[in-house]
Parts: sequence; C-alpha cells; structure tokens
Amino acid sequence: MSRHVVAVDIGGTHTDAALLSEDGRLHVEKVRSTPGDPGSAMIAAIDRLLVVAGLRLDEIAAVVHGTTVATNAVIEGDFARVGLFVTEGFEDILDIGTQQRPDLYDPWRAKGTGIVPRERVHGVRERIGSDGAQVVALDEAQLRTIARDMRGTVDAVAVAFLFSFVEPSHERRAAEILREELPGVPVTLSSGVAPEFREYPRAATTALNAALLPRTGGYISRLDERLRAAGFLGVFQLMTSAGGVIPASVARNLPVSLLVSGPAAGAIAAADLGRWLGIDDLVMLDVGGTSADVALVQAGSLRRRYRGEVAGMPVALPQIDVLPIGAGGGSIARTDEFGSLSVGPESAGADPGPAAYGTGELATVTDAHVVLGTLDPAGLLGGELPLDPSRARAAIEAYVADPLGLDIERAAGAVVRIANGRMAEALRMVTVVRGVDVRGCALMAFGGAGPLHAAAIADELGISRIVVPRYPGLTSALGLLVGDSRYEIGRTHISPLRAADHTRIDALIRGLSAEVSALVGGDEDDTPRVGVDLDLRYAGQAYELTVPVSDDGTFSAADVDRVEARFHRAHEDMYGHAWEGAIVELVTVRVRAGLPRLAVDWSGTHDLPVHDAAVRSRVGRDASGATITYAVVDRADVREGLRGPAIVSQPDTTTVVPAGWYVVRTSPVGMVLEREGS
Amino acid sequence: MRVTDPATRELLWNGFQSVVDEMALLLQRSSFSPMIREMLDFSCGFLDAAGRLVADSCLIPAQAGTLEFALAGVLARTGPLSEGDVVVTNDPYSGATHLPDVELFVPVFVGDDLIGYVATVAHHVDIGGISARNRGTSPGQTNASRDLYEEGLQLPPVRLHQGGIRNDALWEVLLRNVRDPDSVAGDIAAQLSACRRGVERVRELAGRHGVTTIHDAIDDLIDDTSARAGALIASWPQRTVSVAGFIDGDGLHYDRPLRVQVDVTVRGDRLIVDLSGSSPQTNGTFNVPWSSTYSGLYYALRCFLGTGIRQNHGYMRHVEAVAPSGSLFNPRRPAAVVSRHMPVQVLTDAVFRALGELLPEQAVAASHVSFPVLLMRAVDPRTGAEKTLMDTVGGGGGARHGVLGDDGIDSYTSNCALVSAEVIELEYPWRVRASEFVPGSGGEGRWRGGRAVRRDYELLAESAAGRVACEQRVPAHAARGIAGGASGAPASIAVRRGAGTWREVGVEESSITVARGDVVRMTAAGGGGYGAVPLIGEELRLGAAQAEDQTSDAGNSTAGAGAASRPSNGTGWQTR
Repeated sequence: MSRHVVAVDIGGTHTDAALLSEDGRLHVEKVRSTPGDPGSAMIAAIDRLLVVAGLRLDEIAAVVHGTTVATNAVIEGDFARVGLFVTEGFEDILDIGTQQRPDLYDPWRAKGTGIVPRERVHGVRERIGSDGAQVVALDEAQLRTIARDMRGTVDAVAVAFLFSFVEPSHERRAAEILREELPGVPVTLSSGVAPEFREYPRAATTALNAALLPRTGGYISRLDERLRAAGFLGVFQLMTSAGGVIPASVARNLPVSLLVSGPAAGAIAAADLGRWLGIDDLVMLDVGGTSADVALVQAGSLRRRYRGEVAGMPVALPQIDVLPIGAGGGSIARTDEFGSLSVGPESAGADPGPAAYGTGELATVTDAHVVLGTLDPAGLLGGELPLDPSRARAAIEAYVADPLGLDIERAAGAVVRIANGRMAEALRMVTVVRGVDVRGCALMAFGGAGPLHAAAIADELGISRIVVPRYPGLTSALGLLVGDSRYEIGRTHISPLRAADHTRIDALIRGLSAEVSALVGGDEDDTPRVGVDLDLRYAGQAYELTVPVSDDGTFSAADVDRVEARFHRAHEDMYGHAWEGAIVELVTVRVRAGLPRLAVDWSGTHDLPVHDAAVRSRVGRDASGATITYAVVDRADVREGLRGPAIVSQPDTTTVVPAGWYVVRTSPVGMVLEREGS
Repeated sequence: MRVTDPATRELLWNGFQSVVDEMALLLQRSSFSPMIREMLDFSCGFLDAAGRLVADSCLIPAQAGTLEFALAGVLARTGPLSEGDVVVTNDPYSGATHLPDVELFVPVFVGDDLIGYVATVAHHVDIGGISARNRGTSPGQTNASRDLYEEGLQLPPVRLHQGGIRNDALWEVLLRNVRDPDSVAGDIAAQLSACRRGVERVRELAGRHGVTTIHDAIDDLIDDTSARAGALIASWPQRTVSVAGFIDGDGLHYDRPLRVQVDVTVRGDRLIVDLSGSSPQTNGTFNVPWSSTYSGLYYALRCFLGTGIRQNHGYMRHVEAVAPSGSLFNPRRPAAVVSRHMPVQVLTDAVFRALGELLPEQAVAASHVSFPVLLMRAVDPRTGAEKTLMDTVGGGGGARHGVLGDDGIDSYTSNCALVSAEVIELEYPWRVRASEFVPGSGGEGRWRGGRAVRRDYELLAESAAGRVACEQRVPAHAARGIAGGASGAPASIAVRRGAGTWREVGVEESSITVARGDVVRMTAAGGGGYGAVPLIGEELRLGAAQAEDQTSDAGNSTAGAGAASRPSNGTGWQTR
C-alpha cells in the first residue's frame, strides 16, 4: 500500500486540503466551503490536489479529517434528544453540577442547567460500592420498562452509574437491555467514554457524547461514503482533541473526543514545524477572526490536560493543552462613559465583521490595523476580501478616538496594544504555569492575524525569535497530515503507589491496552505501541500530575522508585515545592496506543525564488502615532537579511517586521525573524 | 487621576487579574485541605503599597473583603515589611476572618520601591481548639467554643519568614498546635508558593511598565472604580430603608433568634449601613469580626453596582458600617467568631433586600443562607484510621424578574463547590445514597425560587459522632420572596436509624451519634419566588390573599409573614 496522505480541514468559509506524497512533496489547496453539503467541497479540494500531484484517489492511503461539526453543535446548543440513566438518587446530577455560580457579583446571571432535560433523566435501582462490590443489584425489569416507554422519544441514550470506573458490569448489562428495547438507538456508557472518578464530570461527558452522536456520527458516515463512492480505498480518519488520529468507525461513536480537535491540530503542526526548524521550545499563537489559541511546545512535545471544559461543560477526556482567549481580528473595541477602553471578548466575527469589511459598524482590531497601515488597504486574501479604509477610520474615530480625546492613529495604537497585551498574558500563562521562562521560547505565529501581532508581543515578552510558517492559514490541515494515530484511556485506581497491587494493575493495563489498540486501528504489519502514564498526587491532595512510566505497556514494582522520584520533580517544577517523605498516591492509570505516521521529510522540497523582487513601500504609524515607512515584500520574495520596518504580505496572512527585527532564515517550512543583536 | 493612558491601564488591569488567577490555580492544585481543594474555600489578592485592594481572585467574597483589614492589622503590628518577609495571621481581631482561615502576606519590592503586597487566605483543615475542624457552623452542643481561646491557635500578625529565613520556632509551635500538622504544613507551603508566584509576576509587570507607571495605573484603576461607584450611588434615592433578618438562635438558646437589623442610608455618593439595632454580641460562636461585617457589605453593594465595576478598593471606599462595640457585628475580644459566616450571610441578604427596595428594577428574591453542615468522625473500617467528614449542600437562589432562581447553589459571599459522592465514599466511611433537588422547595411565584439540594449519607462504619447544623430551620426565617412571590421551604436535618422512619433533628440538638446503616439527611433551604403566581379559577381567592400578604410585607422589617403563606405543595406553579 502507498503512503500518500490527504488532510481536509472543513471550516465555515473555507475548506483547506493538503496532500503529502510518500516522496515528501506537499501540495495545498483552499476552496470555498459548501455548508449545505460539506462533502462537495472536500471532494473538489481532493480532486484538485490529485491533479496537481498526478495521483488517483485509490492510491491514497489515508484521508484525515478535522471537523468542527461537534464543536458547533455545542456552541449552538444543537443536541439530540438524549435519555440518561443514572444511579437512583442522582437524577439531578447534571442540573446540580458543581453547585457553583458562574458570576458571583451578578445576581442576574443564571447558573444554567444540564444538556438533558430532567424529564429524560431516569434513576435506576442499582449500586456498586467504591470497592467494586455490588451493593444493590441492577433492577433490569425497571430499566426495561423505562426504556420501553422511551421508544420514539429519544435519539440516543447514555448510562452513567456510580463507580462504573471500578466495576462496569451494571453499565454493560444496562447497555444490552437498552439495545434490545431501543433497537437502532446508540448507547454511550460512562465506563467506555471516561472511566475516571468524580461522577458529575463523567456523567456530563457521557451525556454530551450521546447528545452529539446522532448528528456528528451521521456526518462522519456520509463523508466516508462519499469518499468510497469516489473510489477511495484507504482509511478515513479523524483527529481528536488529544491530537491523535482515530479511524472514522471509532470517531463516529465518540464525538465528544473531537470537540477541540481544530486547536489540537494547530498545536500538532506547530510542534512538527518546530522540529523541522530545529526549534524545540516554542509558544504557539494562532490568531483568527474571533479568538486566539495559545500553547506551549516544550522539548518538542505538547502537554495534555485531563480536566477540560467546552462551552462551560466539563469534558473528562484528554486534550492538548491549548488555551483559547477571546482576542482576534474581529474583537470589538469599546469605550465607556468613564473613559475606559476594552478590546474583546465580544467579536464582530466574519458577519458583520470589522467596519472595514463594508457591513460592520463597530471598531475592531482589524480596523485598527487598517488605520495603522499594517494591513493592506487594497484587501486581504489576495484581494478576494476588499477593505474600506475610510470605514475603518470612521469606526475607530467614533468608538475609540473621540470618546478618549485621542487622535485616530493613537486610538488605533491603543486598541492594538490592548489586544497584544491580552495575547501576551495568555502566552505568559501557558509558560509560567509550567515553570518555563517564555524568553527562552520562540514564538510561532500563524492564523490570519498572528503574524501581524507577533513582533509586538515578542517585544513585550522578551522573546527574540519568531517563526511564521510558510502556510500560516493551513496549519490545521498540516497538523492533520502529521498527527500520529493515537488514543488513550485513563482508568481510576486509587492506592498508595508503594502498596500498589501489581497483579490487578497489570490486568487493568492489559484490558486498557486491548481497548485502545482496537480504537487506534492498525493491521498485522503495524501493531500500535502501547505506553503507560500514571496520575499521581500526595495523599490528601485532589489534583494529580501525570507522570510517564513506560513506552512498552508495562508498569512493575521495579519502576516505582523512578516514577516516584519523577513525581517529586514534577511537583517541584509545577508548584515550587516537593514533599519527599510524603505518601504518593496512585489515582489513575492511563494507557495510550500510538501508530506513528511515516515521518516524511517535506521540508526541503520547494525551490526558493530566484528573481529580483519588486520592492514597494507603505506609510503607516506605530502605537505612539509616529510615521513609519514599511518596505512591502511578497512572501515568495523574502530573502534572508530583510530588515524591518517591513511588511511581508501573502494571501492568507500579513507579517509585520518592525525596526530592530530582521529575517534570519527562510525555508519551505517557515520564515524565522530575530531581533537584531540577540 | 488619568495619569496613565487607557491602553496601559487596561493592560495592567488584565495583568493584575492574571496574577491573582494564577496564584489561585497554584494554591488549589497543590493544597491538601478538602475545604481548599474541593470546596474552593480560599482567596488570593494583590494590594497596593497603601494597602488598598487592587485585584482579587473572585472566589470567596467573604474572605477577599477582609484582606485590606488584615493587611492594616499586619502593618500596625509588624511595622514596615522588608524583602523576604512573610507574615502569617488568623486573628479575627486584627482584621482576619476566623481562626481556620490562615492569611499570608508578602511584600513586593522592586529595588527599594514597595509596589504592594500579595495575599492568600485559605481555610485549613484544623487549627487546634476544642474540636477538630472547628468549622463553627455547629451550634447547640455543650462542647461548642465559648470564646476565641477555645477556637484554636491564635496567630497575631507575625513574621513567619524574616529576610527570607523561616522562623522555625514559630513553625514548630504552629504545627504542634494542630491535629493534622502534615496537612497544615502542606497548605501553608501551597500558600507560600502562590505568594512567591504572585511576587514574581507583579515584579515582571513592574519591570515591563516601570514602577511609576504601576503606581499611577493602580491609582487610576481605583479612582476610576470609585468614580463609577460614586456616580451610581449618588443617583440612587437618598433615603433610609430598614430591614431585619434573623439567625435561628445564638447557638446556645433557641427561644430567641439573633436579630440582624440593617438601616441602610444612601447619602450622596456613600452607603451607610447602621447595624446598631442588631443583637449584642453573644456567648455563642456567631459573632462577626469587624472586617467580616464589611465583607458582607462590600459584596452586597458590588452586586447592585452592575458588571461595569472593577473588583478593587475603588467601590469599597463608598461604604461605611456603624455598629457599637460589643455588638454582634463589632464584638470585643475574646468573643467566639467561628460561625461568623451565618450572620454575614443574613446581613448580606438584608442589605440585598434594602437595596432592592431602593432600586426595585434590580430587586431579586432572597437566596437561601442555610449552609447545612455535616461534620462527623468515624473510624474507617478499611484502614482503621479515624476520618472526619465535612460536607455541605447548596440551597435555592432567589428568583429574578424573568429568571427562575438558581437550583442548588451556595449563596451570596460564598461559592463552595459540591464534593463528589464518589470522592466521599472513596475517602470516608460514608455512602451518599442520594444527592437531589427537593421538589417544591423553591418559593412559589411568577418566577419560582431555586430548589434546595438534599443529601442522604449512610454510615459504613461502626459508629460516628459529630455535629449537624444549619440555619433557616425556623420557617419564619426562610428565604423570602418579593413582589408577591412566596418564601422558599425551610432547611431541615433528619436521621433514619436502620430501617426505621425519619426523625427530625431539632435546632437545639445538633450533636448526634449514629450507627452503621443509619442515614443522615441534610436538606438546605429553598430560594424565594418573584412576583405573584398568575391566577386562574379556583385558586383566585387564595392566590389574591397570598399576593396581598406578600405585598404588604414587602417593606416590613419583620420576617415570617411570607413564609406563613407559602403553599405547602409547590409542584403546580413551577414555570419550568
């Protein structure tokens, strides 16, 4: 079988596709999305790639897809009708939640309710104890009766019983009964999706999976069929929030695992791009229209986190640790009657969009850039999106300059500074919480607006190196191409680390290994590699740190000293102190299976331009209002040694190179800027 | 005023916020006390060189509102602090809250310039005293503390570190006086780590913007908040409104409730709250240290100032409390204060009602202030270790015009999280049999009050002894409705022995002993309803009478009339 891989990232307006051939050639395409029938744009983009690459669809080994279908459903609250079964006495679990109010100082802000209306939540007589022993037998007759009455009123069902992470037999038997009584209705079990302790996040994750399953599952199946109909013979895969790739057949039953796959793909790409450039420590800044994502790549790898949240709901599944913030090109700048200026988190989005787009009225970060001359007044996306500078000026004047008594340029400068400050705080957050000094990291900036802000943010953070990828608008697609097949499941098993029952843990690891390996796929040539991580804490704490144990699927008594020492170190790094003599407690065993993609070197296959570049110039202003004359250079024409002040333009982004910065390196992977004298 | 440009001001506001947020994250994740790690009963703050609050982590207003007082108490005792100093205190009569809340203050210097102080306050698992985990919400029993000496180790503001060197003598005295020294040591280390992180981050901000800019921006941010708050308050009706609330009893006697009398006056741009009509200080544990009195007032005012107000000293300077020395809200040392949270909540509720009367557009029905607490010791048969379970459940929030009351919340100045039933059964010899809303517990109304949560705890050990307590068990003290809405259901505590029937635990009987298989049921109070129930047919007369009852009661300072007319069956009128 060939090793050619295609990635397709379907967004709201554009569908990005990339093809990496087994000999390391990379091709990219961007087509307009077809929201009514997303598969059309996908096939169109793939067809164009195949023509350019001279390949046929039946020669493609894998199509990897990143989708926001599940994410959008969550944001829009577009959920299937779910029947939720819980242990009797816990029927209100989703509505009680953590019991915390979202805004203490706003008595009008409602706490909100769970995604399953209370009348569709049913308590079942059953109980498993904390040790896994049966306390109350599963009342099968009761369950059967409820299920029967439910026929025709639900699209999916979920089961979240107490202590099912210790002993899943009640949940599994319940699933059998539900399948008999509700044929064709998909069943999600908490012991299958997120077998970890704490009933509320587990139940919420399980219910959310069920609520997303019919629509997302259907979407994935239709795309799969579409590809098959066009002659595709390889595997169709999706990326998860944890940055791993799983087969579509698995993904369609686990939509909750896809919720933040877009940011995860961007982060995977950032790590991979860094690898090709030999940069192992970097911070990622991906700035889009409404928000920005930041992440830390430390020693070439990304961090995962296990207590995530999507749209205010807990999601007890691993995610790549990407921090989203409400600051983007469309973020709205406002002043109030007391002369305070704020930027975001409200966004004008793409519709109505910034004032300069022609329909919006409010002042946005993009408008501020137009005023400052950093964005090309002729338009974005190679002219596809024209800009109206007079509208941008009018908006900044009306909403920022006049109320603050500033001139328009200074007002625009203030807007950009505040946006920069918010992004810089986020970058500081993701590094400082890991005990990492951000000044030692490179800043990798992409997305439509990342490279516009990168140098100013780098100056603020004391970062002296910036990377702008060659395809800053296609990083998600690139992340899909290079992501390994990977899945992991954690299972709670609480005991002192030194008193761990290795026979039981071995059995647990074997069970999880089989489970994750099946989820990842693979064939007889390619068996997944299984690794083990442990979540550990000091006895008495409630938050764990994840410590890697092995990459061969084992954890034995001989590993305990090493693992414990590693935990002390991790605690010291994270919190500034360790308790060497204290009892270390094992909380969760995590098993991951991975099948690495064939590492294809695509980094050296593009020729650099040889012709002499036409140099244009544009006059802009800096944040203090002073005039700057930028050299304006097309990305394809950028040479090493290009000195700021300069603007590098390309259809999908604009890079500002301020005075004091210069281009130290260009490569097909990306362009590296450094501060002079650093 | 206005010495920094708007962008720098906003940048630094975001910067100060992220300093305290980051401190909070670090403290929570590395702490041991279940009160900190599970219930999130802690706060972090940054104060300027003049001791004014610049930003806090917005977790527990009851704690954050005391930071300025505690810092003033610190400086009064220790004099100016130097680089490397760390001061610890829990002294309620020097500005702290109650003894289990241990506060740490660390100065932030850049060179010789004092930028300000970072602070953490966290509820420790034990601070000594006559009873483990002297949570204080524990009236009635003979072993309740009668004065501060019985409540645990008192730490007047003292340097735990001086010039970077720990005072080991103090450290040993501290740990020798608590029942769980490992946990206390761990949590103080966590607080210290959070403070250190805060110091680094503030220094970083100062390094980037310059010390002068930091000082100027702080002045501007506080002045700006003050200008906003002042303008709003000056636009409010300039008059006095009087409201009373009640605590079920003083912890020793239940024949006479404690009175919380607030006379709220709007005068110019200031809010003056006269508490002189409240009960004198008591022999029980419900006395409120002066700083905690202010924390309730700050919270209530902030909620009525709207969301455009920054959480800093700027609005706090517009509040003035009046209470004679020796009274419930201004007690004299060594009155016991460990249960101060209850009267602070009742005080906050009363100020909410008074402000709601002045500003009817913003009025909301009362939220519960019942705070049921189960605090029981038992030997875990799995390990042989004695374990003390402390748990609390939420009640109903007050209904709002157009918005139902929130179901199952902690209220007002507190925002404790619900502890997972699985965590309880894994760590303690208790099994949570049910954790659910009480049907009909939200006060009736056009918009129903929030429903209360009840939890049933089955003992899995041989026997357990301890305390169960809550407020609002007296129906007349239930959370009141407004604009014709009814009161929420009162709180209750009940026990079922073996397969027997439920027996209510009375207000004066809160020390209990239970045996294996017994079940303790803790039920919080519901929230008040908003507006009269729309009337139809046969219910017309009853409903009209009820509405009239409620309306006539609205400006009245006596509690209880609303509760008396609360329909016994709530299910018929729910708007959802």
